[in-house]
Amino acid sequence: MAASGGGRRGGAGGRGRSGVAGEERYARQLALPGLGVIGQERLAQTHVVVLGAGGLGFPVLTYLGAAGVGRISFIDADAVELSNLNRQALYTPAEVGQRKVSVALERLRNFAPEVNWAGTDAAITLERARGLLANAQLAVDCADNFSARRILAEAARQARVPLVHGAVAGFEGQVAVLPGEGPPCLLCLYPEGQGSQVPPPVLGAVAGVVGSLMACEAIRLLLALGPRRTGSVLLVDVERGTFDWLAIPARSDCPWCSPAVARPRS
Amino acid sequence: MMTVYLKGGGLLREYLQPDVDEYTRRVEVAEGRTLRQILEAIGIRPVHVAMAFVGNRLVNLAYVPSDGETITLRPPVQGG
Ligand SMILES: [Zn+2]
Repeated sequence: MAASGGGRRGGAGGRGRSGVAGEERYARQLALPGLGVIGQERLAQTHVVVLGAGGLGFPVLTYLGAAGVGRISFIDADAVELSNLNRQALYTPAEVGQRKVSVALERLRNFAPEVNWAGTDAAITLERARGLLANAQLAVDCADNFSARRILAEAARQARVPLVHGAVAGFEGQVAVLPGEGPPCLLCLYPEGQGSQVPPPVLGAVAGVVGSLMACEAIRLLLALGPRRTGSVLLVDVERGTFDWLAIPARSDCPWCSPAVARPRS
Repeated sequence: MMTVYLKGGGLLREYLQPDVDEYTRRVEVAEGRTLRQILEAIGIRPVHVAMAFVGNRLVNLAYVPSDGETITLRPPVQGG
């Protein structure tokens, strides 16, 4: 789990340099309308928590790090398997059997040493999620099962942190942007819940598309760039070539976000 | 009776058995049926449909389609 390639230079809010304006690393994005030096500094002050370092986590971690998010914490409990490599380019065949968090940390620190990276090699629990989210501005759900997603979403609501949710199977995927408080929430999007399945087939490039869109939505949300899509879901079907943004209807009986449903205070 | 078009790609196609085009199945149903009843009538278990939308509106399995409507179905998508 050794950091290398220049090591860390401070994290969110704690850069060792005077600023990002002079950094050649970000030259190609500083000129973007709505980003600029102020946006870049804002990203550098931001802490994002990512659940899952797999097929979606790979593009999300890579592009959030590349964009210059100051602090990125991620959690994953898996080891690298050969069958991961059709979509998870954080890992190589030589690393099969190694802990994902350990391998990913080294690779991401080499790739983006300015970022304060932290990895947790454990399954997510409500307590761990709460701890990770304590000083975060955004949660990103790259999990591979609904129970883990639900835990992150619950902790994010408790911490009033918005959530970018993503999932993929086959040629299809979805990205949802959910508010930290108020409707709608993850349980509004999946009223029937989602049973655990055997790992679905998935084309690596589809996970790449969906994960990249998640990173775009994360950056848009952090910088308030473009139209607000909080409370919406993007349904992607790469085979049919369709991308549909839909509003997520708030459930009047939602146990998490409906004002009409009495909830115990946590 | 009325006609409803069910559309679905990817992992749903094997259950949907499209006939109109590669992704669309034409179904004749009695008026007033819910989407859940329509799916069950053509042998699709509701568990295979995680989401559905009409136009730009998400609907659930209690939705009652009207004549000629196209409903796009989505399978459970939970991988990462
Ligand atoms: Zn809700």
